[in-house]
Amino acid sequence: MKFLAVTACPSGVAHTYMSAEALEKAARKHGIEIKVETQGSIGIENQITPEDLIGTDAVILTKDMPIKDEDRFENIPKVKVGVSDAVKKAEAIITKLEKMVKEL
Amino acid sequence: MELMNEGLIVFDLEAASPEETVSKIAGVMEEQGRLNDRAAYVADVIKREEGAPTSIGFLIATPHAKSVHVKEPSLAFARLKDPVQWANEKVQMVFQIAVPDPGQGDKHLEILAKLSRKIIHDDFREQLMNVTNEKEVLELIL
Repeated sequence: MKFLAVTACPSGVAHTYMSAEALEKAARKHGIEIKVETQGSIGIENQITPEDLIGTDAVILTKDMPIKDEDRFENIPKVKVGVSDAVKKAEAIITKLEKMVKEL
Repeated sequence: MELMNEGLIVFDLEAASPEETVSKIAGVMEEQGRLNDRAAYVADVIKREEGAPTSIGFLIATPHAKSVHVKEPSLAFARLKDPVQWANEKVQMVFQIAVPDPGQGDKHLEILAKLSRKIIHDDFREQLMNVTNEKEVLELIL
């Protein structure tokens, strides 16, 4: 299974990166491939490219700030989560999404 | 000026609320000449907390503000004597961040981004809970 995610938060200083790390950690634990783009105060890092979209089962977007270039993900199942939830409940988010993808 | 130094690290901080914690840490920042206006910076941080508390579980909170009341980019670390109730979480370790608005380049923000990622990992948090002096904190964070 392969997920993508984009994280962003109002100040772009802490939660953007905490949520990215938490999602990566949780996905690894589940044996799921994941790439997380951060849109924070130091700009866009680990940018998701058109090639990354190939074979992607689902996309996780944080919803606290507008995500730049969200239309990249138009045809991929998406979930939007609060950036705090992505930090605190990354494991639950990944588990739920994994289940959702399996049932598609 | 360094983002963090030994003077911005506090052990056994005594505070009964998130507001008191933020204010006491801001006092340390002020002593170090990091703020233009302590009370106004504290107000900015508290306002940010009201929107979405920065207590993230695992006994950690990361109160922060990007604010015109900040003079120098600063990262303070405080370990509280006793955990304090912080929104829905207990908090005993606080990383408090002060970033000037407008910003001053990206170097400090990169350190904060790296720190934010470290916080997610259990072994990092355990080490922080067990460090005994300021030097060890700096080694872990920077």
